[in-house]
Parts: sequence; structure tokens; C-alpha cells
Amino acid sequence: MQTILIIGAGQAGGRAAQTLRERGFGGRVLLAGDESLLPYERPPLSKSVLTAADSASCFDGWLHAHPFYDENRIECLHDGVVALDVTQRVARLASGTLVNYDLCLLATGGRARHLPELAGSRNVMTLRTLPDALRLRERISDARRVVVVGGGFLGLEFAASARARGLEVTVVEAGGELLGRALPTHFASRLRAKHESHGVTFRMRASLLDYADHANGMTIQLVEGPPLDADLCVVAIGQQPDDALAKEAGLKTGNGIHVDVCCRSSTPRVYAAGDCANFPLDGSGRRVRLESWQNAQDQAIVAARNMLGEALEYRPTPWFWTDQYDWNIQMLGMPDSPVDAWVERSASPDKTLLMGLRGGVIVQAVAINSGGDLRAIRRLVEQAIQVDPHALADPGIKLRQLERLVQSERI
Amino acid sequence: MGLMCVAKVGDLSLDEPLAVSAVGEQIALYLVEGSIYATQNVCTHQFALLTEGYLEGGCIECPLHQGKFDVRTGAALCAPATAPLKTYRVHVEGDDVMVDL
Repeated sequence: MQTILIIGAGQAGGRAAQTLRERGFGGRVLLAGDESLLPYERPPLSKSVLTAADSASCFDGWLHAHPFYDENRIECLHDGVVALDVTQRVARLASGTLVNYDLCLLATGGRARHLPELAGSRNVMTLRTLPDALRLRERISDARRVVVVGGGFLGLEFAASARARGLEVTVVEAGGELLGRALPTHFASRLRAKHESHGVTFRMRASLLDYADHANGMTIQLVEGPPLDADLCVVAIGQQPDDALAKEAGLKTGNGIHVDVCCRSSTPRVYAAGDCANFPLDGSGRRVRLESWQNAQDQAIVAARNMLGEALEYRPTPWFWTDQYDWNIQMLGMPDSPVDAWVERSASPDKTLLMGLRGGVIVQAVAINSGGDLRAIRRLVEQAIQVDPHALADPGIKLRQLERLVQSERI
Repeated sequence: MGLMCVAKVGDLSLDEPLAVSAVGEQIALYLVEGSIYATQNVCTHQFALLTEGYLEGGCIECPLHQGKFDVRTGAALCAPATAPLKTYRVHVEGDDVMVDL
């Protein structure tokens, strides 16, 4: 009987295990994660876990109900892998147990980065896991002021949640813009204005120097400008991919575990998927590591299917969403994809779709509360279909109609 | 409660769900391959109106996070949707679209 070992029991690991069983794999499926929890998705951690009224039901992100694993003979080891021998195909677990495997999937995700300048403080927290989120939920309930270090998606979602809980929020960002290269520049400034309209203060181009914990919380010294007093500081400066195990095992790594378009690592019988996987995005040779719910889901499914003998190519059109205040923001395509012209369809400042075109093709799009419209142009983006920018901009033409028209012309 | 007229057949078009409301319930109507179906209009995953989503091949995708549902049965087809939609029996009488509430 074959054994498939999945290292990492997060969203990617959990989805892969499910896929193996759905596709008829009858051998052993081992899920070895170092979190002692069953697989769950992370988006609720910065939102409903922090803002829900009732602590007993504030988290609803389990991939599957508890009985699913036994019912599908998926062995949840709750024991992380500390060493991997890819030649002998043996993994050593934290408990000391040795596991032989035939195929292995690395879905190790990553860890929250920490700021050395804040090391040692009892008032600084990061947010990656459910226990992190539950601790934060508690801290927020009697905090008045919070400093968020990092103006990326997680920092901004946390800021929105903290404002919803009535806290004073200051976001400290090292760059001159929010979200760095993750959003088109002019959209980033709209997002900042949205946060400011909800009372968030920003300190941009700001770096930390030092801190002091005291009886009433902490004081944070910045390189320039006045210090910040807070009860709590949340550091959301990005994720470090967990590729140490792979590296020690001799796999190719570097900003994650390197895989090809079929999710195969540099070593036979070892695959990788999710936040930890570095893969070629398109024919250009460009490699990326996508940190999104969609990638954790879809790449894990492709990896699992390929482990069972298929030869699917994982060629996603990156899709990402973030919920902040009453804005559901979605992005399609790579945000640093060069654009000749922007077309906007705007019903209101709170309901708009921005499309970036290059050579007559939509190469990236950002939607505020316009997910249906973004979905309507998805195929146009995925298949690089030429579109008439005037038709795109015309509010009298529904995008769904446009999509159907363009599709029928191609047939 | 019984059958209530919520729309005219002419109000419906292919690929475009129609939002109606009756006795305080938000309902989505869909025209799929010549038949009309009705489900609750509020997504079971998070608050969003499915009629602002994307309808294709008898499946409605929620505009917020693209959770997919079968409009005929209400079944949740893909993550992040897991709980099914409430469906309503539809009866067409002449030009009237009636929904069983």
C-alpha cells in the first residue's frame, strides 16, 4: 500500500488530502502539521475572529468538520516533520517517530516575520495562526490604542477590524505607499483615503528605532517624528516561507521551495504547494510565490492530482481578495504587470472596477464591491482576449454581455 | 403561505439573475435553459447578494469570494461556500412568475 505524506496541515495540506481521497487514492494519507489544530483557512483570522460579538462562535474557518478525517481515513498526526531524507524517503517527526513515504507534499506555508527592534516586548504580537488571533481578540477587548507596523493587506485588515472594535489605530509603514507593489499606485492612495475616513492615522516612510514597555502599555520610538504610545502593537510585515526543512533535505529553495509548473520540486516524488511554493508564473521564466487563499487551494489540488499520475499545469491568473470596512476589494492578474491604459467603470466611489490594458488586452483589474463584474471579465484576462476599451468603459454595456459577445465572436 | 407572484417572465434574461423580495425574504430568480429557479438571495458564507454575482451553467457565484452554488438544488459547490441555499418552488402561470413561500 502506498503512503502519501503531506507536510503541513493548513489550507493547502488539508485541501490536498481531500483531493487525494476524492480522486480515489486508496493508500495511507498522512497529514503532519506542527499546529495542533485541524486544517483551517486564514482569512477569518484578521476579520471575524477579531470583530465577532460572540467569542464562542467567532471562528468558522475549518476546512472540514471534525469527522471528515476519520471518515476519509486521513491520519492527522498533529506532529510536525523535523527532518526529511528524500533519498531513503523517510521523515522524522517531532515526537521522534519515523515515517516512510512513497510521495511527499510540502505545504509548510510560512511564519510571520518579526521586527528585531521590538524583540522582547510583552505588548507586541504577530498574526498568522488561530491561537494568535484568539490572543489578539482578547488583548483588543481592553486596549484603547494600537500601533500596526506594516501597511500591507494583513496590517490594513487588522486596522479595519481594530477600528470596528473602537480602538485608535496608527499604521506605521516603511514605504511611501501602502501595499508596495501589490496594488496599482493610484488605487493604493484611494485605499489610504478610505482608512483615513474611518479614523486611521498613518505614519508613512517611517521606521522603528526602539521601544519601552511600561505600566500603561508601551512607547514606540520612530526614527523621525514624535513617539507613539499604545497598549498594543501588531507587527504585520509579511511572511517568511517555511523552506528550511526542504533546504536541509537538499531541495532547491530561495524565496520558498522551488517547483515547476506541475508542482514538482527539484527532487523526484516530492511536491510543494501553497504559500511555501515558488513556481514559474508564465512562459517568461518569471518565478513567484503567491500568498493567497486561491493559490493555497488551487495549487494544492493540482499537486495532489499530479501526485496520482495526472500531468496538470498550474497556470493561474492570480486572484486575490481583501475585505476592509464595507469594501470588498478583489484583484485579478499581477499588479506589477505593465499597463498602457486604465479603464474605469464606476457606479460610485464605493462600487468601481479598474482595468489595466496592455496591447488591447486586460492584464490586471481591481474591483471595489464589484466582484460580479470582475468575474465577468475573468476569461478575457485569463485568455488574453482583445477588447474594445470604449465598450469596456461604456456603462450602457453590461460586462456580462460584452463577455458573451467576445466569446461568440471567437467561435 | 402559498404561491406569490414576484415577477413577470419578461423581466428575466439569460445569465442575469433577478433580485425580488416578498414578505421580507430576499429572493434571486434565475433563467437557466428555459426554466426559472429561485433561491435565497443572501449568500450563506458572508453577507452578499447573489444577484450581483456571476451566473453560468446553472451555477451562481457569489460576488464576494466566488463561492459557487447550484441554483436548481441550492447545493454549495465550491469553497468558501459550504452551507446550501434555501430554494423555492417556482410556478409559471402565463406571464407571472410565482414563488412558493
